[in-house]
Amino acid sequence: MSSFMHLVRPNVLAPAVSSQNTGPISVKIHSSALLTMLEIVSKQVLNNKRVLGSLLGYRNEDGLLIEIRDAFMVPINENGDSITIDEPIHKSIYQLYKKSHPKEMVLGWFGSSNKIDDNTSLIHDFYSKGVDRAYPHPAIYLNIEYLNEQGQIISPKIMTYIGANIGQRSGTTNVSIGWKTTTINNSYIFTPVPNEIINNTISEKIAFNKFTKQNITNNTSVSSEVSNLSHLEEQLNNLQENIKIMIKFIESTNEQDRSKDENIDLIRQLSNSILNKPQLLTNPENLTKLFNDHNQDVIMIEYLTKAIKDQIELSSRLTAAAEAGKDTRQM
Amino acid sequence: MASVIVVDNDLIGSIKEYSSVIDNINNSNEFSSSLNLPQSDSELNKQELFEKINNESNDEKFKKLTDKEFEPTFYLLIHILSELSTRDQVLNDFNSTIYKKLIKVTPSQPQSLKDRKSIKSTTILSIYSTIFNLLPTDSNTRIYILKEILKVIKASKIEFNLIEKNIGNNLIPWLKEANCNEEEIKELFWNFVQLDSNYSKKSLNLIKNFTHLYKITSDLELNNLITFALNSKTVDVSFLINNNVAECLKSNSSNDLAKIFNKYIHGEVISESDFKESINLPKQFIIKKSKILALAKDFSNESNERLSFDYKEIPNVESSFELEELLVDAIKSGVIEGKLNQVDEKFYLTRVNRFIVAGEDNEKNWNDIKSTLQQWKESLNNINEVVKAARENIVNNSSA
Repeated sequence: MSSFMHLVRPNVLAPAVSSQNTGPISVKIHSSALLTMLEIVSKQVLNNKRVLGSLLGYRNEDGLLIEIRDAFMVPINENGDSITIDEPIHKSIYQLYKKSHPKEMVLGWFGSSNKIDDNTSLIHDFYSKGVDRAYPHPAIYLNIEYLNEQGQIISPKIMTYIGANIGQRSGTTNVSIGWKTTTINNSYIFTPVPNEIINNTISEKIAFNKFTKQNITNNTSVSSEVSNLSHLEEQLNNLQENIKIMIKFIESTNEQDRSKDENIDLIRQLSNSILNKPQLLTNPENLTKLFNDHNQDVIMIEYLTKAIKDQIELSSRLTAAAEAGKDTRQM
Repeated sequence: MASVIVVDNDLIGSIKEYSSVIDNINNSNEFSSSLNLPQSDSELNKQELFEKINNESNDEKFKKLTDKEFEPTFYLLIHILSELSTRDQVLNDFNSTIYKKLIKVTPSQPQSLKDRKSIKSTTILSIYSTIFNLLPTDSNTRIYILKEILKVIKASKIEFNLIEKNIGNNLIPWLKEANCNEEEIKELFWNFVQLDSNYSKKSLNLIKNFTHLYKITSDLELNNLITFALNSKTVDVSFLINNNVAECLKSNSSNDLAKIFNKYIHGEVISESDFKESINLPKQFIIKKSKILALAKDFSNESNERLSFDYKEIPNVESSFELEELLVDAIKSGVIEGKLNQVDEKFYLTRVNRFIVAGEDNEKNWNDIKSTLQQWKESLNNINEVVKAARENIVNNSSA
């Protein structure tokens, strides 16, 4: 649960942002993108150097809903106060990505740091301005805190920020004794915005759950024990286990326990959802018949689809052959 | 890490930047020249500068800025004043001039199209939330900010759903961390919930969680709860009745509103005569909701195995048309699920909400659930076998 306050998007320096569409920002991180970022961060952060990359994905029309779908690393060179980002690499990887995902764009950047400092502000400024970056939209900064101040590995903490401007807007000109100078605004208030991790498809969710369930053995390789159970069978077994736990719980509670608020909520939820269960579930003959009928329907649809596909292919070949025959006769 | 300020300039640079904004508003460079800034930060007379900048930054000046210019300028002012004194002095004190300035520029009513460039209520909310995040969690200035935020939302009629999730989920932990007393927590919570003019289910859930934590100790709180629940489009509000609410309803059983509410949550039809003159509630709307609940109550009283009903068997309705309308409304409100057969005048029930409230004997429901779960557990074995057999069947057929 987020313990920070986020009510509306702050004033940001981005021409695409309309002051009329102000509401809270919500960042959704696809689990595949998160895994990519964690992989980059976990490999690079061990030599205790800053690592960063670009965030890719969608943004809705008013820019309040941001979906991070992928990420890639961008090499940097940090030396004290100065930092250099390998812009050509960022540009070429993005251009390549854009070819396969034309509707996606750069949303901002991710990094791994336990504090926000001047360099964070410089990097954020890089992603907020210029071509092939988040501009004309505001950049999002995603921080994965992976090492603590003592350099020890901790469970990754993910925070997302938006940079609200401080002071005069960038590009404001100050005229001073005949010289026209441009102030570059690198000052930001990094305001936290809520994020959540989502799965794109059901199969992705299954894979992600399986991945999180795998045990990491001592030699740091992921256990590759493959279960013979189908996903359905596994789910049914889980469900049966849960029902067993529930029955055991009901049997073990006394009258006093049952009158507690949380148990009243539980019994209400269960009563509202399962008391009028379909009779079918307790009648195996009917169930078998219905399931087999359903299977037959699916097989029939597949058969018909294949037949139609073959028909279309045959028809196009016949047309092509007829056209070719006509041309030969004309000659 | 909550909000973090990163300023690229040194303090003198920031002051120069701010004074140029004030000069632009004043159309003269009088203010910047009056500051007599030295060459380095260490030579600054911080107290004198604090006074000068603080006095010059008033609501009249700020109102000349556009909405887009105001927020970054105000943050710069906060940064400068914090550097010239301390952040605690500037932000962690509700008597600080920063808050007075902010209150003076807050729009006092919803803005018209003409005001499109002037400072917006959402900008004020954004500044308050940034300051809130900059303060330590145990600071009681956070309580003051929350109160001000609620005032801004009430005056500007900002959509409640913009703030519902963030404030709704965190209000109580924030107030507890800031050592707010129970009375103040209750006052702030009810002020917050009453901003929801749609009486949404999310807010009802917030009330439910709140009454689980805090007992209802006043008539006003009970009336707030009942009024909110009866005005809500959510028909089944039995989930609101936890032990604290049930106890309060019992001890206030003579209260007119509590009488209506008791009838309502037990699925009894409410008539117009139940409403005393002093009760200001949408009568017809509540009567309609109570009819839906009465219908669901009839279904839930029947055996769990019985799933089809003839129209004639259903009481409290005069015609089949009225019944069909009621059934459709009940399905739409999520109280029941099922199918209508208009030709045979039959209703096939799939699911119905039970009226389980705290403080009553729910033994039968516990036993029903236990036996249903046992049946379900046994039937799951069947599914597994059916799927296995079907899979083998398909494999054998395709290989044959």
